[in-house]
Amino acid sequence: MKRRGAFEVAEMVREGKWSARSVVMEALSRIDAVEGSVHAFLHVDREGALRRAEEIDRAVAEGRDPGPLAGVPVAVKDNISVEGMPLTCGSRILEGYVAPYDATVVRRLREAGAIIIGKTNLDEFAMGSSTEYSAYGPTRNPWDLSRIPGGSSGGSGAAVASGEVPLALGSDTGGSVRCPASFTGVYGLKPSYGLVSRYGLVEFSNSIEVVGALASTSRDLSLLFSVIRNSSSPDPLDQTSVFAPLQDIGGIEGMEFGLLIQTLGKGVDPEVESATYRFADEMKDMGGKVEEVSLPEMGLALPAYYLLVCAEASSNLARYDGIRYGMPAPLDARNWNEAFSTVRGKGFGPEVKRRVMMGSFELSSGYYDAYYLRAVAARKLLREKMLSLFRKYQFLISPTNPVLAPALGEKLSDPLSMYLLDLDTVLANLSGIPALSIPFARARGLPVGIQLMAPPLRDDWLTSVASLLELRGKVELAGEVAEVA
Amino acid sequence: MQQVDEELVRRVASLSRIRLSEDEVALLVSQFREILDYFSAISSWELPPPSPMDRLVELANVFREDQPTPQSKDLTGIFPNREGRYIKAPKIV
Repeated sequence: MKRRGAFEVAEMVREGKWSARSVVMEALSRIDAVEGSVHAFLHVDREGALRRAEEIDRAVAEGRDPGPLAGVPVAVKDNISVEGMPLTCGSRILEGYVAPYDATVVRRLREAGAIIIGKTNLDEFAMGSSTEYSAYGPTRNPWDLSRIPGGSSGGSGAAVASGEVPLALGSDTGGSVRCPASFTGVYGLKPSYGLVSRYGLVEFSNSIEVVGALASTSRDLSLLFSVIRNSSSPDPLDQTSVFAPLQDIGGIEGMEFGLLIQTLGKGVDPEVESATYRFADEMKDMGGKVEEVSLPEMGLALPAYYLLVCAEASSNLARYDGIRYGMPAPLDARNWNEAFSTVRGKGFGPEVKRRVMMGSFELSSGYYDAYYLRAVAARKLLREKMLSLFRKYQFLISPTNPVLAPALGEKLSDPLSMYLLDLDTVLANLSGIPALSIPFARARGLPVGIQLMAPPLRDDWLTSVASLLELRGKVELAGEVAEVA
Repeated sequence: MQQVDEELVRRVASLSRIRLSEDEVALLVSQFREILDYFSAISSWELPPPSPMDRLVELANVFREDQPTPQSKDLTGIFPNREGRYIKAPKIV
């Protein structure tokens, strides 16, 4: 089943050929048809979306241009603030909280004429790789409802894959945009650190995470990315924000690609491995040079990543005290600590507890040097190694995930096996580089994503390669919609 | 290698201000053991001297004009326990 892309929708709405209202009605009816089986959304704002669509239609009728995303329905991961909508982060502890302001990315979407249709499901506070850690029930993979959609932006991946919306925002701390993109067969871009404002993204591991984009075609992805990125100046509301001009690479003739051998071989599904080699062959056919490259230090990546994010989570999540917002702390507690501990014990789920506690442990006196500081040093080493690889290669290739989408519940009882799903994606987060999951192939009826990484601030190189490959008809799932039985 | 036992898990839970049930404590002991065992890979590598200030982006001051914007609604509405315009909190004395 093919779909109408965001690019086409915006074009038709701007020309007055389609009404934004009819576009929104169509999206809502698809949501009604599949939500019962997929559960991609935690909140759908029907009235708000229709009201906004009428504004867009009025603008068009009056001869004003509503912008490059005119009338395009967009889903936003529920850890990003949208004024007037609930913000739960998939957690009980934020029950009842309604965001009082828009994140910068949401403001940019609105200014471009997009229609925020609702908030998507996620692992609690974006901690997880399956969306099963949501306190509001799991999202299912639209291609096979017995399987996970990946995570933590699983709702965003499933919403795009099942044709509920053409575009969605996610966040990526260790693969949380790319993993669901890969498992649900859509594009998922993790931008360079700093290139997209994090103002309004609920902090989990702020030195590492980014807001990312999900779409079904490379053209739609580039369109969404051009709207949310800092294109002319950094966002003054995000201290780590940077900007870079667009860079078109034209073609990939003579470009050097490194195939990361540590991401292939033992423990990797043979179908995933063969798809990765086929992807490398495509790059050669298009005039690129591909060779195998080794990064022996890769074994450091996952431990360093988890140690860093747990440390930052323990600090960032200290703000959930039941006093200022969300689930109320008991007023009859004997002291503050008892009030906090009670509400946090009740409001946080198992993975959040594990990570906050792991963070408190490694930051505590006696363990700080052995764990946290070594993780900081490991990140530095990995970043240096990655940047030195990028002095020779323009791109690095790997699978997005070592395996196909697992069954629901398969990884849930063993936290470490869930962490291992992030094996190939955390490198980009630790080194701040951009990475794209391309919905390249299908195996045993399930999507297989291939990951392409580029040097810092060369995000456009990734979307350029994707669009060249798509033009050759070599991206198997581009523009595909899961029927959802 | 750190010995993980119930006492350690309880201490870390207390530092984290998280109340745990007995079942949770027991489960976390085994999970922490497994996870820390995996993380200990980090101790066998030669690493550059660490600095806690290492970052991906050099931080610089970013200035902007203050622009007062009206808040769309009364923010006190988000307090879970309140009395009028005030936050209600547990009694401390």
